[in-house]
Formats: sequence, structure tokens, C-alpha cells
Amino acid sequence: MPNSQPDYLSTRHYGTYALITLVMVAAMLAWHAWKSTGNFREYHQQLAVTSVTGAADELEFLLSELQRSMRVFANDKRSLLEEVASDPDNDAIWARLESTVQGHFPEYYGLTLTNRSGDVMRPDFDNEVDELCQRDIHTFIEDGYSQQGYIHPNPMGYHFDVMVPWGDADNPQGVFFLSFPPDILARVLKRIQSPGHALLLLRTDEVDLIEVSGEGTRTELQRDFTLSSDELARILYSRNIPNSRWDLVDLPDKQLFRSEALRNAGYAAVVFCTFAAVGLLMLQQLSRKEQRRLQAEEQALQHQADLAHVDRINIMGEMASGLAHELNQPLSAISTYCQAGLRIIDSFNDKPAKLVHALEQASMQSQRAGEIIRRIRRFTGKGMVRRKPIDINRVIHNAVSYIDTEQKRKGVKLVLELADGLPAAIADEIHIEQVILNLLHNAIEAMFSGSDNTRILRVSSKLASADTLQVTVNDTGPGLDAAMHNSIFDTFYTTKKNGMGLGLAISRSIIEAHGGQLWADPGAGAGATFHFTLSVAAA
Amino acid sequence: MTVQQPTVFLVDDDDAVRDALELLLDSTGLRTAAYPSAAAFLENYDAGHPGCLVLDIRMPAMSGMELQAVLAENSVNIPIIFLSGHGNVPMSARAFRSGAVDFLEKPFDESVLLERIEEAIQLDQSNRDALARQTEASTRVASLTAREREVMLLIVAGHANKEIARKLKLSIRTIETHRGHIMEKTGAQSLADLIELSHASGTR
Repeated sequence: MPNSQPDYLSTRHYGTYALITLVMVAAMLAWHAWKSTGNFREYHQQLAVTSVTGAADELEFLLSELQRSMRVFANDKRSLLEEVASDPDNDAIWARLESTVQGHFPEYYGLTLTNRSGDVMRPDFDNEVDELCQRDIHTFIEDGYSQQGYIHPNPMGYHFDVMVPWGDADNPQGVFFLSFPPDILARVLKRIQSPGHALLLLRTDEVDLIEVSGEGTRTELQRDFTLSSDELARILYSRNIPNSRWDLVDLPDKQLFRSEALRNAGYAAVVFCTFAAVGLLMLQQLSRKEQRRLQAEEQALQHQADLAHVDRINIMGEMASGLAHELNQPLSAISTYCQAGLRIIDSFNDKPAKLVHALEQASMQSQRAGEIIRRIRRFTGKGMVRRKPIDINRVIHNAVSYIDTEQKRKGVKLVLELADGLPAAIADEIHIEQVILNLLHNAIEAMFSGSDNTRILRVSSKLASADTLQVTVNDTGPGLDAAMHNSIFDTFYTTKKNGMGLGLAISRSIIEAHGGQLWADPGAGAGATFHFTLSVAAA
Repeated sequence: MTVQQPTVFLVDDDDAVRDALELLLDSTGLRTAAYPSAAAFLENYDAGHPGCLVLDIRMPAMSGMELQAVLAENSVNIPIIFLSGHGNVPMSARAFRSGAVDFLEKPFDESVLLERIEEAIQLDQSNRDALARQTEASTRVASLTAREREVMLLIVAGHANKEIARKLKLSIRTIETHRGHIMEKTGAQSLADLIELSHASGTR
């Protein structure tokens, strides 16, 4: 049977293909996961830049707005400030100032006023203005009131200070000082920071110290108020707030990128597993199909091997049988001649003892030769015959399938006329198939020996009697003339150039060994017709 | 009827085998008639001639088995000894089923063949004797009148004269007369003779 499947589709390649595909899919998914994680990181980086920039601008605006309002206040209420400056220890006047400031800056925390040299006019007001504040006030003045928004937290209450000069613009009389709680800063951070991100105000001189976060000031933090080296490394974006000692940074959640990476990897893994599972199932199906195909092929090969084996055994048997027949005739004659000679001598009065001995020996030796031939025949005749019920039509189909390509190539029309519902025959399937094949081959060859171009090969089966099946093979070749019809079944008789003259002899031996008959219809010109019969299996 | 000497009919397509067998049978004093083919044998064969048939099983045109079938079809009952150059079991079984006396594989032991031939001739002779007896009896029974045959069958069946008379609505005397004629015409000496004769003739 020709192998029509190209080799690269065989099972052992499926595994390789599947592996290559899986590796490609895995690479694709890994690339996609990596890319997604990268995109996510890039997006959040952008988000960090946007929020830090936005929040920094807003904080800067908030601070400068406070300074502007204070400058306006200092200008508007200059008389009151001068009144306080003229009598700083007057509690009544101070109280008036406090309430006026309260009216304009309801959120203010601490308040003071300095003279030109920066000295606080009321040194102690409940520690709301401490040494740090005073030092800053001095620095502010030394810089010629130019360093705007010189702000810092107060360790006592965590607030930040805002200072403006008061008095004449070109000749300030001192510093008007207000401090505010950092909640207003925290509110800005909280409003602007994105989910998964924290906006933090850090001190410019001590970068790991958190001043304010969205949660509030240092004391209100739910966490350690310093940043670990890990967290410092994680900061996405940082920006200094102009005119301040603060850096605004964006710190993403520890889990943000890791969980995203995990999510992407998980997604890729799920997709990969699904793909691999489906692929494996398909592969399994394919390999099962392939296995079945291989099995069928193997069976066909085994069948062919059986046929070839039976063919060899049969050829050997038939040759031995033919030889035996040919040799047994002269041996028989020799033996009989000797015996006749002995009987003739028996009637003599004076028997030549040596001649008697010679004839006796010759007779015995020919018997011995006959015995040798019998033994060889017994040995070769022992073909493997496995008789069981067979479907004769199936055997015909099998045999026909072997000559299918030959017959099609040569343009022979094949007609099958198989009777339905035939009972099973008792026979050895391989042997019977061999007989049918022999007849089919002979028929095809015969049809090409003549000049007639009509080539029809007809195979039919029928129930010849209640217990006999008959198979007929008919061709449109030249048929059998009388001489051929007489000797066509003889061993070593052939009309073919390369024939051994065994095929039909073997076929007849096989059929006769099955208790059936194989014969040909006589008559030249009408094509040859061969029939054989087989016994029906007992019901 | 002239008594013919039994003849061994030889049919074998192999000239040497045929010649050697002829020589052998000749040396034993047996009459032989040898033919190279089944057709030649059929052409010359007279079924009335006693003897036996030594037949090669495989021959061109008509095989030994086919000849056996033809003879059987024509009710020729000559004993057949088959010779085979390559006997096989199914073939010999079929030959025996169809009434062969023996089946010998070539090369065979001549003494066995001669023995079988002798047996076959005897068998043929006894077959022929039985046939002759049957023919003789039939002829004798055929000479009886219809009424006499009827009475004979009843006698053979074991009925007494009185019973026969009542059955056939005849007088006992008439039956006695018929009985006398029957014994006379058939030549039977006793009732036992008559019974045997009646059976041999196959009269029912």
C-alpha cells in the first residue's frame, strides 16, 4: 500500500510542532506581560509627574497667596500694627490685633510682630513662636525681606510660618509673622494624589524625613515618619517647591507594580495553560488518529506478509508436488518393470541369482526414491492452514484492492457481481485470497495478450447449492483453446513468457484441499471463465 | 451365457507405467487391456465384461475421478483401484466415498497391487453373481400371472392358505392350485427357496 501521507505529518513530528508552538506562545505571552507591566509603570510615572507638578504648583500658589494677603493686611492695618509696636505689652491692643487677624486668617495658628532688627515684640506667646522661628525671622530680614515664603514646620505644633515686611515698602518697620497648621497642605496632597500613590512633602535638607503627607503631619502618620532606603529608591518623581524648604515627591504603594506584574504574569500563565491544555488535547486526538492509521497500515502490511509467506509455501509445495508427480511416474515404471522381470525369471528353471538380486535392488531403490519424495512433500505440504468461517465477498474485496491500481492504470473495467446475504464459507482466508488474486492476475494478463481493446474483468459470487458457494472470474481475453483447457492446471504448464506454471496448479491444490473444485469453461474467443467452489459453514 | 475370463483394465497416460504394468500383469497370467486415456477406455469398454479397473487419477482431458463419475452415472459397477502420482488426503477420501476399492500412491509395492487386483476381481465376480441371481429370479417371477404373483407375496409374507383365501375372497382349493403353479414355475424346492427367490427378484 503506498504511503500517501507525507512524512513530515507523522506522529513524531506533532510533538516537535506542538513544542515549537508552545514556546512561541509562551514567548508572546511573556513579551505581552512584560510590555503591559512596562506600560503600567510608564502610565504611573506620568501620573506621578502630573500629580507632583500639580500639587507643587498649588502649594506654591497657596503660599504666595497667603503672603500676598498678609502684605495687603499689613498695609491696610498699618495703624493697628504701629499701635501694637508702640505699646507691645498692652494686652488690650494685642487682643485687638489677634481678633483682627482672626477675622482675616481664620486658620492661623500663631502670630507675632518684630521690629526692624527682627526682635519679637512679645517674646513669649505660649511658645507659639520659638527659637527656630526667630532665627528664620532674622534670616528673612538679613536677606532684605526678599526671601519670600521662608517656611518651616515648628517642632512644637507642626505648623508653618509665613512672613511679610510691614510699614513703608521701601523702609519696613519689621516683620509681620503668621503661622498656619499644615492641614491645609495635607488637604491639597490628599486631593491631588492618585490611588496607589502617596504625595509626600520632604525636607530639602533631610530627604528621608516626612513633613506632611495626605494623612496629615508627622504625628498623624500611620507609618514611620522617615523613608527607608527602599522607599527612597521607589520615589517616582520629586520636585522642589519654589521659595520653600520642601521637596514634593510621589511614592507609589509597595504593591502597585509588583501586583501589576503578578497580575500580568498570572494572566499570561492562565492563557498559556488554557492554550497548552487545548493543544495537548488536540495532539492527543491527532496521535490517536495517527495510531489507528498506523495500526491499520501495520495490519495491511502483516496481511501482505502473510500472503507472501503463504505464496512461498504454496510455490514450494506445488513445486515439490509437481516434481513428485513427474518423478513418481518413471519411478513407478522402473519398480514395476523390475517386478515384472522378477516374475518372468521366476518361471525359468535355472534362475540367474545375480540378475534376481539386481532387479530386486533396483525395485527397492525406486521404492526408496518414492519414499524420499513422499517425505519432502509431506514436509512442504504443511502450509499454515487456519480454517474458519469467512465472508467470501470481503475476501474478494480484499483481493480486488490489491489489483486496484494496476487495473485502473491499465484501463481495465472491473465489474463486481456479488450476491447479498451469502452464508459464511469455511476456509483459510489468506489461501482463498491468494487463489482469487491468481485468477485476477491471469485475467488481466490474458486481456493484454489479445488485440481486443474491450477489457472487462467480472468477478461474481453466488450460492451454487444449499451448501456450496461459487466464485466466478471472467475476462474478455482470448479464452482457452482445447489444448490449453486440457493442461492449464498442470504443474509447470504456462503460456506466459516468464511464468513458472505454478499459479493455477497451486490454486487448484488449495481449492481441492478445501474440499472444493476449481475449473475453467472451455472455448476460445469468448474470454476465459474460471469457477471455484467452497463449502458453506455449518449453521 | 458364456463365461468370460476377467480382465484388468489399465488406464494411465504414462506410456512407461502402462507398459510396465501390462508386463507385470501378463507375467502373473492375468488378462489385461491397457488404454492411454479415459476416452479410449470408454470407447472400448463393454460393461458386461468382468474384471477390474486400475486407474491413474491425474490425466489430461478426463481425470480418473471424472471417469469414475461417468461410470457411476451409467450404473457401471466395476471395482476401481486408483493410482496416484501425488495422492493427497482429500482426493483419496473423495475417491473412496465414490466407491473406490483402493488408492495406491506411486511408486507402489507391486505385491500389494496384485493382491488388490485379485480382491477386486473377486468382488466384481460376486457382484456379477448376485446380479445374475437377481436377473434369473426376476425372469422366473416374471413368468407368473398377476394373481400368482399376488398369492406368492402373501405366502412369502407368512400367511397360511386359509388366510390368503379369505383375503382374496377365493376358495382354499384355488389357492392350493396357485401355490402348486408358483412352485413349479419358479423351480423353488421349498418355502425358504421361494422366499429367497422373491427377495432376489425384488418383487414387491
